[in-house]
Amino acid sequence: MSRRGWLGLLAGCLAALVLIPTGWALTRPDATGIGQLPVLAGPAAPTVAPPASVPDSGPGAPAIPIYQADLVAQPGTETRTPTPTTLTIASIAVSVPVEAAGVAPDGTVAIPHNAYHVGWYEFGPAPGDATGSAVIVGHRDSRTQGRGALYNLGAVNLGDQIQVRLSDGTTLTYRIVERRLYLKQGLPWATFFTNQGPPRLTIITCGGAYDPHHGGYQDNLIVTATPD
Amino acid sequence: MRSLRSTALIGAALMLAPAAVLLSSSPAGAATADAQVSVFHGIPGVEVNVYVNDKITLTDFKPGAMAGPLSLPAGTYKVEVTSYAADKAAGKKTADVIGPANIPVMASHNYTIAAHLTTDGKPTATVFDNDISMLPAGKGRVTVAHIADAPTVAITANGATLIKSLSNPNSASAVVPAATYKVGVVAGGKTVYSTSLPVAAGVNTIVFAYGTYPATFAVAVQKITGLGSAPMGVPAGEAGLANDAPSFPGYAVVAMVLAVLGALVAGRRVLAGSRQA
Repeated sequence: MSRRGWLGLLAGCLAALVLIPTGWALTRPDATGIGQLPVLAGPAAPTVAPPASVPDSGPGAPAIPIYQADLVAQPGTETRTPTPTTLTIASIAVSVPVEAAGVAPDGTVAIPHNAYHVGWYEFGPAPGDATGSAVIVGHRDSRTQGRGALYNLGAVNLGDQIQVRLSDGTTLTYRIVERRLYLKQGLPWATFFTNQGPPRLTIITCGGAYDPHHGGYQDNLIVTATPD
Repeated sequence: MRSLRSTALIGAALMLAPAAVLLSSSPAGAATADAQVSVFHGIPGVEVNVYVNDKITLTDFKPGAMAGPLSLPAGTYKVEVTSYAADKAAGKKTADVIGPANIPVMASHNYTIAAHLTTDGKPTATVFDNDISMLPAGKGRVTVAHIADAPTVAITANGATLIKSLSNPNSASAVVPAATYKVGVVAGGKTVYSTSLPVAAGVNTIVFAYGTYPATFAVAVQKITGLGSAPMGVPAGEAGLANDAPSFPGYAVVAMVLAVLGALVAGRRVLAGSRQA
């Protein structure tokens, strides 16, 4: 080969050494995630007035909320709001039963043992409530059962549809606005477990780097969706 | 008839409230850290008027009724309770049935003033400084206030003792997993009253036992919400099967190795050519 040819080959190889890693880095999706949470600092949660019966006020007596507090007369006693029964995320071929999920003895959410089910955090808002974050959790994987229901949650995209079927037969539809890995260390849980702010669906599993010597997955993979 | 037990009166009072009344039961109150104050009428058989700082604040207030909560700035308030019927007949404020009492109110606290009978059957008022500490995720607080003309009792929940001993005019509470409990009132070893009580997570559910046992004994409930905490985490994976951070692919490594080799070979040739020239 001529000298020109060798020069050309040298230039080409040096260019490749620069372009291959650069091109790879540029085509990675955002390292931690895509999208963003809806604006959460909305108006304060609507205050609920106890049923008021304004007394027979004489002149000068202002209206102060008053209600009969007798146990039997309790108004609105524990009306059963519909609970979620099925979670469907078509873009990743997920359609799974939803159980109620409580709190484990260590204060964390009690994830359903069945890795193919997901759990709705029963001490927070339900899907369909007017405000706050309805939370659904599920295993990414399990030592005994393999891949969990939410194994492919990392592959969802902004705008993907999520459907939640409720115990009264109705179906709610949401669109994904954020998918992000949050480092477990110092994760602000009050942001995701709250009855304040705009109504949203929050799906939480584990993800990120896996370190078997330091607690396993280092992140929680959190997907946030708003009502369609 | 006037009755005043200054040792029992530890609490708060209502003031004339402006039209904008804060209706929330949450503990934080207004941005100014006002106190939240409710008033409970636990004396069966008599409607009352409540005066605060000499102004009528509640009128024809009926037994079993709860008023408020109101946001009140910290301070001291004078509270008096009269008979609604007597005031109406006289066309003016008549003699105090309870009070007058000067009651300090502290900022950010949550109070319930309860008008009730002593164990001698006399009208009095006790102010309860409600527990608004944050509750762990999934737990609620159940508070029982004994303001009945009745002996000392124990309180059970689902058969287990919740409060060992409770007498007029005291309250006691316990933090329990959120659930519906069968709550019992036990006196002299016998369950004299029981009811089903839902205790929600993040809520202080306050039960007032009032009236004269057994003739006019009754139970009322007040709920203070917004006391819940988020759970401590979501441990949702354990096998390390997922890969959210794909590493540099193998074919790209091979390509770069080839590029390095190519650069070395080509570089040598170029340099050799230069030296020869």
